[in-house]
Amino acid sequence: MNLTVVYDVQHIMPFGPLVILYLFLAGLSAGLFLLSALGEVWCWKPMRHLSIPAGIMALATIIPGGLSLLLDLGQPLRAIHLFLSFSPLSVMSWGSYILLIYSIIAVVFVWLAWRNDPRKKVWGKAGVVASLALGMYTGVLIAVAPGHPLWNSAVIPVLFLVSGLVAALSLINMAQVLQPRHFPVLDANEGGLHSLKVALVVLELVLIAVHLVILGLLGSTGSEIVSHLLTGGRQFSFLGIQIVLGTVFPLFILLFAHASQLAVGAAGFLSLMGVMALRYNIVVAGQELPVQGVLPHLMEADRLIWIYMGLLLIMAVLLMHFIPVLMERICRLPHAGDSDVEEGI
Amino acid sequence: MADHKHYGMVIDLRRCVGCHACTVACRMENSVPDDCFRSWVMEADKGSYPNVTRVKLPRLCNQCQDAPCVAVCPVKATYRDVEGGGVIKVDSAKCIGCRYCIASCPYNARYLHPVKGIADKCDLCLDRINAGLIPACVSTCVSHARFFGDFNDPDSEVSRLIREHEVQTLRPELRTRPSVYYIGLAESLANVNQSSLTGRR
Repeated sequence: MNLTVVYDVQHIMPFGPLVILYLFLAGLSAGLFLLSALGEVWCWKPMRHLSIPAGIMALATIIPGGLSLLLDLGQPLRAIHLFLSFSPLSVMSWGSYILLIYSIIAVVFVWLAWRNDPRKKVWGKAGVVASLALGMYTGVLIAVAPGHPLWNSAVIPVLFLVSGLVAALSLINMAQVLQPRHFPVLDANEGGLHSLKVALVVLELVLIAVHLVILGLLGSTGSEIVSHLLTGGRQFSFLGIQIVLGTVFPLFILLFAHASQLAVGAAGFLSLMGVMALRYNIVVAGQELPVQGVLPHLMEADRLIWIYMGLLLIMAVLLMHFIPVLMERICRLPHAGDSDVEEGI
Repeated sequence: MADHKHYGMVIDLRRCVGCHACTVACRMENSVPDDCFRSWVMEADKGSYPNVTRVKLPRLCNQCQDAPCVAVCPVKATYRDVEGGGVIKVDSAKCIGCRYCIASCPYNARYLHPVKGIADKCDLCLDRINAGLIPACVSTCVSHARFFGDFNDPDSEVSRLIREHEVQTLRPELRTRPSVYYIGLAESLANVNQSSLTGRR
């Protein structure tokens, strides 16, 4: 028997564009830190010459990421309350400490790595734990919100971590095209990074596929959400942008046109867009379908939020340039390893 | 009898006429901002012409005994007021407006107050209750479809109603243990094909 809703209340999605931006930047930062630590702490050869710039980019992305979270609060000046009380059952409470500790470790690690201080290895290892926590807690945060089948899965935190690593490798690929002086392409080392990225993109696709198959087979609201993503209102942003343009197409470039650095850089840009679309689709589609009734929840339509987002992204790019300059001025010591990073990446 | 009160509501859907007086009374009593609702009534047509019945579903915070909004609040601004009948309240001096409780409410019963920047929701008009009155929506209900009382008092009207009638709660599968019970919910939504829900504004 059909039920036609004739009157219902339309709600605003609680998590809007600034939260999506935070999830993207936090994942990207965690991924960059992990890659940086691979080179700086464990001396993984493909990342060795890129580890300091990657660390600087990790720092440059987490600052606007944290700010976007702050701007999203209804009462930004009360953010300090997060650190004055601890609620062990709240993932957000854990997350605020993870974000704080990660940011402190990232600052210290980049500083020590810049000065080639041997203590960088200890801080790097601590940072790996913090960045793994940062990369995954955002997924846990939404996964434990009841009544959202798209979110309520253990796949989500892993997917966020994997896609964060994909975004980090993509940004490095882009930087190798845009800033070749600071992100040199060493042919002998590129194979490792390339293989890692291909493996991670494939893993990302597998995780998405598994999640959707399970949701679809669960029936009820789960299959409704799968339909919403594949054939409904989210079809363009999910299938078109996230999957085809942001994941499959870059994967083809990586597999069949990896000899061209320009093509790999373009694939990096598309992958970054794909990871942003992944965060967008999961957050928005997870809230869009109402728990009761039929009216989809609306995204907050405040123009100021989009201006904030643009400014924060510009801030991330500017920080990537100014952090090295600032550090050089503070320490007044030339970096022992790579002179390229001294003038900004 | 339990030490503390357990305030809640029983809504008899067989009596609701869908006049929305509860929605209006709630807005007036609690100065609810535009486009936000602490209490509202969803209406739907069940069946196909000429065999159509109108389903009315009054909605409000379910005052869950295992409330997800309490657990997820990072600053403990959302809490159960044990002295206040177990009503879930928001401490306006503590709330940071992170919206996590809003995302975690499976009943869409919360909203961010656009002016105050904090989470807001139905508190069963606790101020009225403490003053010896009943919630505004119960007081104004023209068809006496809403009943308010203490579930820990076996002699209360709400206790009697859930004893004598078959009652249901919304989304029982989530085990949030709501304190809002419906009489006639199962009949209202009987034989409804949830996948064929259609709607219009």
